[in-house]
Amino acid sequence: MAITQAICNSYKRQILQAMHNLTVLTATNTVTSVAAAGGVLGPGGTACTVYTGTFTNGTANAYAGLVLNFSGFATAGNNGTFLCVASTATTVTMANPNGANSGAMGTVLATTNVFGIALYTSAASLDKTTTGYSNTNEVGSSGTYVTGGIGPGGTLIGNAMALVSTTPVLSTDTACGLFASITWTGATITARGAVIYNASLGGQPTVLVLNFTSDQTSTNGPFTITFPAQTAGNAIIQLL
Amino acid sequence: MSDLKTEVTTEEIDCGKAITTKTFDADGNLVSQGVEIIVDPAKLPKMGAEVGDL
Repeated sequence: MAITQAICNSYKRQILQAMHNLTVLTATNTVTSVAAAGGVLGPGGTACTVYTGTFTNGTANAYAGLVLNFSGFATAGNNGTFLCVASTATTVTMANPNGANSGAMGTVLATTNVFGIALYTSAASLDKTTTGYSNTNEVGSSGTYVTGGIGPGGTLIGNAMALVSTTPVLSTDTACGLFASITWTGATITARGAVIYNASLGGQPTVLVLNFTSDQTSTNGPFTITFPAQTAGNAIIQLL
Repeated sequence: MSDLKTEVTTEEIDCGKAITTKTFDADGNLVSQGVEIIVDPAKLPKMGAEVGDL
């Protein structure tokens, strides 16, 4: 078994098929109140939370089918990355079974695709031919790390596994993507590598494989992956 | 807390650098261990495109 660092071949082809979108929708999105989770409108009958506020571009279910990222809420169950089931200019209904109307309100960002990351043991075989997320040989859940991947068709339990993306920019003549660094706290993990994948698409197609060379271990501590700056010669994803 | 000691090691890895921080109590027992993987763009594969390729 081996982990070989690579941009996945399937990802290169899928770029030409316009399958991956790192764009962050720009709009005014503020939340003023939250309605407790209920109903069965989400995938697989998932209960939903209704967030009320200002969603400038959300009229006529414009956000439905997109994944929105909620952060900064005092109530932990309101934070996370969820599939939007319905939207208006004043409400978004999210497949979040854990929302609650309490505590300080936070912020919401809309992205056209959500990208996830998963850590793997040395038993994994990962390379340029890896085409989709799999939990085979993924490290076990520990601390805030959750095994099992994410995606609208998935269990939606892995919000801690979502990467926060930034709209691609041109740096000189190079198109550059960016993921915010990610940390799992209180985690006891031994990992040999990682896979970044597009959690919003069917099959959760892979983007790239990172090789840690040797087992990297956290014990009741933080496990962090820090990504480089969004500039030519530096970005985690670059199209030259 | 003042008796805690930390040990930091750095390892060059395929995708960049791994910085491991171990925290020990006064008896030398490991209390916690954190790791930071710093992705180094110089070590990552890049995608290029020539006009003819597109």
